[in-house]
Amino acid sequence: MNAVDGSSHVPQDKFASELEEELPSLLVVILDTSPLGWGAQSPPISLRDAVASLLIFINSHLALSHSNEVAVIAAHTNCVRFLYPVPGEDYKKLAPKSTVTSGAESSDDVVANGQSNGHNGGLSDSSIYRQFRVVDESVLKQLEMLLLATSASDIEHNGRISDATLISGALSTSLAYINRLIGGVNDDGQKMRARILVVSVCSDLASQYVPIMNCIFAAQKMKVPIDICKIGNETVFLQQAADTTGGVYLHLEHPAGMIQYLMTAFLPDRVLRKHLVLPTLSSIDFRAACFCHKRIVDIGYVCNICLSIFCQPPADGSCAICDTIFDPKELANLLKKPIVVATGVPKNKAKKKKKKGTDSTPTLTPGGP
Amino acid sequence: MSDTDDSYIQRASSPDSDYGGSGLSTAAGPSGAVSTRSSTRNNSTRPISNTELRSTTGAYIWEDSIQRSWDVVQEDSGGSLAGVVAELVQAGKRKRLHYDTTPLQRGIIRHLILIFDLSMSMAEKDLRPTRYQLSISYAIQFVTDYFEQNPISQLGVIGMRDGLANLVSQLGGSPTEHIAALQALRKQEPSGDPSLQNALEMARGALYHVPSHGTKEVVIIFGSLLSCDPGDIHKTIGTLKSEHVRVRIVGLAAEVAICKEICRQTNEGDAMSTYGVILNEQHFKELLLASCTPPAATKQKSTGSAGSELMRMGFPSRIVETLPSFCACHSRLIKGGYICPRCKVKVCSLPTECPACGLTLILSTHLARSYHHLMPLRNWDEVDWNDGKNASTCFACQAPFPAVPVSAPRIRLSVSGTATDASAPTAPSTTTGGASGRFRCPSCKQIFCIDCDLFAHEILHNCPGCETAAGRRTREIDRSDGH
Repeated sequence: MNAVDGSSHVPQDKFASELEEELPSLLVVILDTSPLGWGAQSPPISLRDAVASLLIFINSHLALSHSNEVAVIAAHTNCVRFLYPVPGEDYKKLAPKSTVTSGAESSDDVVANGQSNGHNGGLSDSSIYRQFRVVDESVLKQLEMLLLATSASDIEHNGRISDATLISGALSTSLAYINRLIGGVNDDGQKMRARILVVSVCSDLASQYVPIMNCIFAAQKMKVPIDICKIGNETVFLQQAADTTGGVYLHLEHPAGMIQYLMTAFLPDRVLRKHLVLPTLSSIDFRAACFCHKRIVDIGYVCNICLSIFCQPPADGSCAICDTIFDPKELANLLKKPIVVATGVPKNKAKKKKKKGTDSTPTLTPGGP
Repeated sequence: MSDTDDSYIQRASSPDSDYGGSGLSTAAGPSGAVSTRSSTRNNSTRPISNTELRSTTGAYIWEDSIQRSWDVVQEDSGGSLAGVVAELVQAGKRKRLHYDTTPLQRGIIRHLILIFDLSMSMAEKDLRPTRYQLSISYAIQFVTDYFEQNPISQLGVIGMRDGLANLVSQLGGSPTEHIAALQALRKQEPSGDPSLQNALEMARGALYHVPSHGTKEVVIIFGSLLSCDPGDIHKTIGTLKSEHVRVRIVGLAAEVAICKEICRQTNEGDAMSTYGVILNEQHFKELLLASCTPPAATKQKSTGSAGSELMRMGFPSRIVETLPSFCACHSRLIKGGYICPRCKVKVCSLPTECPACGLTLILSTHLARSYHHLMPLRNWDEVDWNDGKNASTCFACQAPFPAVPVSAPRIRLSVSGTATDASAPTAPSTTTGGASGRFRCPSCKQIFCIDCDLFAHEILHNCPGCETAAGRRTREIDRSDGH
């Protein structure tokens, strides 16, 4: 869009010329499509409203630059699906008219009305910017197919109904996709700048801890910020993802106004962000959950072989995860300290008493709040 | 040993002039140093006969070793080099495809000293721009990669020049400090002779206080063919061995007997994987960065009780302040920071040791960063044409696969969309092992392209296929266990 307004001959200030030279930007949207999750949010915002807002957001991203690109990935309960671009389809020679199902039509209206050209319904299809229509139609069609194919059994995980979706799979897939686009040289011999936006409604991601962490580190290495648009319950791992990769984490207090959040917080890309004051998370829960009782601990015991975290030294002197037998002398040293919680095993009580005098922790707090 | 040296000096146009005038004794003669870079001799103690030094064409090995890289590349019938270049790239990628995926107990908490040769021999220009400058560049990259993969480990740098060992940067956990110290080296010039013994003794001293749960490692970048030592280096080797210090050496010139001996002694007889002489710049980088992977725990460590222990660690919480306050670690006035859970002192960066109470402070994400070493991703199998023809695009990145060839299989790059849908070249040229460019994960059976294979194993450490089939995955594993 930047080249079509005929303003290229107008002398531009430095900032604009810097923008001109910038690389195209790739936006990967991961949409959490958990039926249970969206059902729980349904009074303030439904999946349909969210998709409508998201499409406006995607269109504005595409409108920022002619060469900007987008990919939409659905993280479903049992699979991960590319909503756009769909593998095997050639969007360059797409037929001018394509059939849109009725359910999608109404959402399409919302999208179309969001645009300033003010046409109504499917009548003036030809007036929509072609790139917008290609993306909108593809996303709605694929999403419809995905939701129709979902049965009640897909919501179950190991016999338990949960709203968990395959966020780790979607992140892995999108990083592989980004790797292809930015690692390879695209048509103009330029590289891309990529970012990921996760629209998340599910709350339970504990089983995906290690793969999500691997994704976070890969994204950090590739300098891909992961933005989180969180609806519903807070999720610790996604907070950490945004914090580690330099993305924005935003918990929507008023989900009905989702479009506002999207346009103000998530639209500027990595280069513009340093000029803006964006919402950041003030405090992040970095405490760890112990592997033995799933307690949240701030001082834990870590096995040096497998790095598993325990809330207290194991009673049998061996690691519960990797069966390493710990050095009994060192273990006794740990048990001596009064830092062991009251429920701990009072195995070496006699020794504990002996040592007690030396163990008072310093109370000096220079610079404390 | 002496035979070797004599014959070497008699025959070859010796590089002795480089070291001429140094009145110091050379503890390690350049035995077996005659060969060119590309031929590393296995048996360095055997005297070398004249015939061995001659290759099949009758010339000396170092005379016929020049390979003109431009001779390898041949134009195809269309006069284009693209296909050949693509094949070369593909072949290079395939070389890196096989990883050791055995889950091993590894020493995750590492203490490593990087010893840097700063002697005259580093001024050689056989690596561009000089050995010295290139080694510094690679060492900086090594520091970055090391801390990325080993966030709770420590590193120190020692330089060898003028027969002395100089401390470049102290054992510590901050990559920026080491990189700044290495950058400062760029302005200096290499001088004098190296001393392996002095450097190793200093490294031993620096690693002396390391607790038993941490590894003690030394990596040496060694450009010289000699070492000027004040005493008996074998005594030093003995002490290193008894203190479980492991030494790896990257040689820039040629194999040196004493280096091999050091590696063999300190790594329980395994000199093959720990001592390498570089072939070219790329190989240098590979050899050096190989040390980033945590070493497997040695036998006496994993079976005996010594070395395995619990560590008490604190997981501090981050605070946000409106007014700045001093941090306890650097006494800098900053806003925000982390609060030690035991003594409530504020520190500015993690991981660190609490300056007040000595508790190790880390984030749980630092621990998670090392998990992929402990749970490596399985290697993916190559799929042949018959199996793979149904898959048209890569499961992860959606890149289209090359179509099934009619006459001969031909590999094309799938890096960008354009490269793959380029019209099939008229001449099906050489086949690279009949590869279909498709790879399959053994647990989820999804098919991926070569780029995703590399990406998943080197950067992501996840299988996109397994992660998108989380429900099915557990069943797959159960079934494969049943077999």
